[in-house]
Amino acid sequence: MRNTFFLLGLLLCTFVATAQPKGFKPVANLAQFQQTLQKNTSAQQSIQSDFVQTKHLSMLADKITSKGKFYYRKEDKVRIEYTTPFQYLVVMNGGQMMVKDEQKTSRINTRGSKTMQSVNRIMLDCMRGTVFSNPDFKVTAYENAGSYLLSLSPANDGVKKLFKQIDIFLTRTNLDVDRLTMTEQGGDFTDMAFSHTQHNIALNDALFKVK
Amino acid sequence: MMRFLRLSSLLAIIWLSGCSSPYKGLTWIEHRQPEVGMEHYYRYRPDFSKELYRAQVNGGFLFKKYHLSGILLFKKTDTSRRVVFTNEMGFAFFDFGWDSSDRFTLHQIIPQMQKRAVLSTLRKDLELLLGVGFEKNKLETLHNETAMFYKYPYASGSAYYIEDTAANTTLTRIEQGARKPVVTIYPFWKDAAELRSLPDSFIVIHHKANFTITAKQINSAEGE
Repeated sequence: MRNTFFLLGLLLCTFVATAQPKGFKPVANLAQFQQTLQKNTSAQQSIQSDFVQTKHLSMLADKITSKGKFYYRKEDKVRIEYTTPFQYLVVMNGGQMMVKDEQKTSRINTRGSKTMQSVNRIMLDCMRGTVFSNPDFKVTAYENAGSYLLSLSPANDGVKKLFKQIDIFLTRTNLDVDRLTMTEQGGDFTDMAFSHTQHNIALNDALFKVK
Repeated sequence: MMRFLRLSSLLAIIWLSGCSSPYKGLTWIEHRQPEVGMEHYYRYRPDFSKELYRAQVNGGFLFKKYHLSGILLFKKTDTSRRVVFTNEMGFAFFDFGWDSSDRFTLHQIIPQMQKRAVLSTLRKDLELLLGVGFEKNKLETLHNETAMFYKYPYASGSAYYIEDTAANTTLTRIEQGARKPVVTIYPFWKDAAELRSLPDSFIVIHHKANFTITAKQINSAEGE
């Protein structure tokens, strides 16, 4: 699985089983799909992409949009950098995480929290194509003519408090993630759309520094 | 004995001066004139449709410090005013609303913030900024040499909207408290003509609770 990641931070939600998404049907040959996904993903050394994030506030019929850049380097390095309309940075490197806003830089050892470890793990599982073996989520795969959809529902209590559902949309041609939707219990959801994705380019160590 | 009495007197004077109210020496101009109250009431109820702020909350309790950052959305509809605070990745910390009669509704709050003191503090800060919850006919107007004080009964004390008379009636701060301010809000507008809208930036300082909020307007990245 390419260019896949999860939003970090605190999230409210409980698990809700999902009906079949509109316009999609269950993947015909799941085992083959999983194999292809893992093969493609394991070949990825690095990913760089632009993103547009839109937070939809359902009750207000309104949205908040921001933009930034995403970086991944094998095996466990992720950088999510918001550039517009605010500066905000999240870097994950191994079990360490750094969060930086305009006022403060915080460093977190994710190994101290099972929930943080779950969030860390699912993100990296998506990068490595091993999401189907993650015990913290139930993964259901769907397809249509142009895309695959992986629908993730939390399976453990800690993660259930954070997420209702995460949907990952992959292009059928090259299994690039072009959209990620995270849904909260109250109906609000955050959408991330990716573009200008580049694979296997050299990414400097400095991008993933947490100290 | 005499030295002890002098020292005690000095300490008493110092203590008493620290206890004196900053509102004590104000001159009372008017009392509950409905037309003045109505004009002022609408002057400091901001007129807006939607504003976004980049906000940070900093505080400390005993030996523990905390820091939250995120996006603060103010939205006004035909029937309500809403304030939503989310983190940068879209997760909502809280979602507050007030209907057309200024009745408060808690739409959402994370468990870590769902404590009565936290909820009450945040609600009051936003109500002061939005000019919510005041009775139009309860306004009292006072002044000193440099400022006008528009006073409403609020919570367990009063809310004061303070205008600098030298700066052509610009709202320089909002205070809330009984004898002394418990909280002070400093609003800033780049353009004085925009005083009826939400400020371009603001700072909220809690004097007893070691807790501040800073916020600066931003524009959503839509359409960029």
